[in-house]
Amino acid sequence: MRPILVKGHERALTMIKYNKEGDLLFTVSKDHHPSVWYADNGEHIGTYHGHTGAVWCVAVNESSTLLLTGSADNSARLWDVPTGNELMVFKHPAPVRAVDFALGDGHFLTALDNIMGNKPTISVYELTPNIRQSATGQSDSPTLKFIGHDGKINRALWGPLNKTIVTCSDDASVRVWDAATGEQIHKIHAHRDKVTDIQYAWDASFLVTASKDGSAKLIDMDSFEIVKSYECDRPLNSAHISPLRECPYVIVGGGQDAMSVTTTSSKMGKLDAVFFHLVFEDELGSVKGHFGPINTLAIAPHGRSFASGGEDGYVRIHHFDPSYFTAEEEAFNPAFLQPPAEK
Amino acid sequence: MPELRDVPEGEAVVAEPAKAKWADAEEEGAEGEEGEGERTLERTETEVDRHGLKQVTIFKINDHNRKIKCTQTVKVEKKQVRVPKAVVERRGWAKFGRCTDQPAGYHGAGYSFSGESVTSFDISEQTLELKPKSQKLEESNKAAEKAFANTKQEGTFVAWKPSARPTGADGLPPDEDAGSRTTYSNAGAREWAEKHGALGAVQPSGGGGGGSSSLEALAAGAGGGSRYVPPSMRNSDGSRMATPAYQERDDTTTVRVSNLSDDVTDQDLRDLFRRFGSIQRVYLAKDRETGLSRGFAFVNFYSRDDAQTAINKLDGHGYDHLILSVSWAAPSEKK
Repeated sequence: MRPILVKGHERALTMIKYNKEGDLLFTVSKDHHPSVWYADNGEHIGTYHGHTGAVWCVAVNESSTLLLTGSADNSARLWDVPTGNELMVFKHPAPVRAVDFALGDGHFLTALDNIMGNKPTISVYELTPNIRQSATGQSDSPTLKFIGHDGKINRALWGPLNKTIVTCSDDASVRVWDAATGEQIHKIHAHRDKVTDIQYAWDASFLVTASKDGSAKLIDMDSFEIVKSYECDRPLNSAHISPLRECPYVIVGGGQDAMSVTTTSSKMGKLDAVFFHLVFEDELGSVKGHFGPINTLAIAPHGRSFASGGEDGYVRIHHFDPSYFTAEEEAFNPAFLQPPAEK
Repeated sequence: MPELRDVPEGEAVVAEPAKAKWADAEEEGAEGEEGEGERTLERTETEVDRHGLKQVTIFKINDHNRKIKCTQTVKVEKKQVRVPKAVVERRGWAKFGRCTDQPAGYHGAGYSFSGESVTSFDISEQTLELKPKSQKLEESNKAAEKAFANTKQEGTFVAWKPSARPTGADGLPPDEDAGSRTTYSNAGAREWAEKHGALGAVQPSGGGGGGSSSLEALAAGAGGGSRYVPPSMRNSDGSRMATPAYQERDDTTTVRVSNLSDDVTDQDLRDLFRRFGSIQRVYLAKDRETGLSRGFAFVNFYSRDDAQTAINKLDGHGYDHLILSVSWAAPSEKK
């Protein structure tokens, strides 16, 4: 495959996200302008202007009409996706590290950094249905606010049916909260180091975590137990599960710390995206290309492509070759076991 | 893209463009625009016929200022792709923010543009081979490769030599030590034998016959009767046969085949020579690096008559665009 190189950000990417159909790709970086792209060819659609600090996180709703971003300028902003208009600013006392829309767009959550004496707080906001037309009636204060974690919250997601909120943090744990009361339901000691990313499988039955301790874990969302562990030899920043049944893979990305990139060659830096077998935990292969650590990585919901955003400021969109979709089948039915093809 | 240069006026180049990847097409398109001084004068296209083919005729002036006609036959394939309605609607969006000056909508795969943001294809192809790491390690066994790399040097098995060079009592290498008169290689062999406990019965050749090989001694020890002798090597009384068990190959029934092409295989030779009689062995010389034939082979028949027939029939016979030369093999030198 020949990756599409997207150079639209001046600084390191912090998060990329596909919309539901996988035709749009939203990218946010440490420069102040979230961007949206056609994911198929990397064509730039537009930028969202308003933030005055590094943007840490992005979320898009089911219908790809609303965009939510959280930034180091102590605000979360709501945008109209097709026009780029800013709909609402939600002020916070600290940088917003994670945002996510609830299923059905009725609510959204934000999670805060723990700098400047702030406690890592998770807030839940209500969203009025026709916010795109007018912002009247939209409250800018949260309906629920609770303090969680002992360290910076890196990602926060709504659980199945909006009943729970799942967060991961620098304190090496993944925690599950009751979305109505803010009580802690589970604390999963998943890692030995900072948990940098959590992402769901396509049906939210499993959660994959990525950690600075160099491993990614698969967590069952029913029992909250760690079912699989993918060991990698580098600090990980992101992990995602392929949605296709014929391609049971987990892609992880990371690399050495950003500060040591300039002192080692890109070959030694382990800056490639690594593929693991979802079930057998085998390391299968890797895709090179970035010359900085991969900060964020996402597989399109249709499973035919994936994109990675790096500390180097590039987004690389990879469309898989046909061989990718048959590799698993061939591994179980190798050519020498198959009847010879007729000539 | 078909080659357009140096085509005399009036002659047509018909190219059947392979189904190129759109990524390549995009790049080549850009290349063509940039130049080489070609100017298109006229371009005509026929309708797509029922086989899905159309003819594109282009008149150009090439580098050498000559007018050329270029005809391309292009196969047009229509592929139906289902796209969600929402996606179709989104593909018509106007650009906004920093991209306001860009044309609205989605421009299809391979669209390149230049604004403040740049989208391009990676210059290098990325391959993703999904194979477990353990399997990959097995396939490229570095340790084994290393061991056998030594055998390539001068055709000797250096890998099996003891790594530490044995030295005499005065610190000199033993072959320079007049006292014990053992040669270096003998000392090596003995060290090996001692390590493996084979020298237990045999006296270290101290005084008499110090120069004799310890391997010989080893063989003598084996003949002593207490040692196990494999059945194939036993005489009728159970003692070890004097001669090696394997028979010397009879070179008198071997023919040498030369002027073979690169891609001949053992099986091809078997098929070719089988018709003259039963074959003992086929040896095809192959290149160590590429595994391709080096152009000659030895075929060992059971009977000399068969071999003679093969020579008569096949010498000068055309095979795989080359003319074979088949003759009696020169008897191999005794080692």
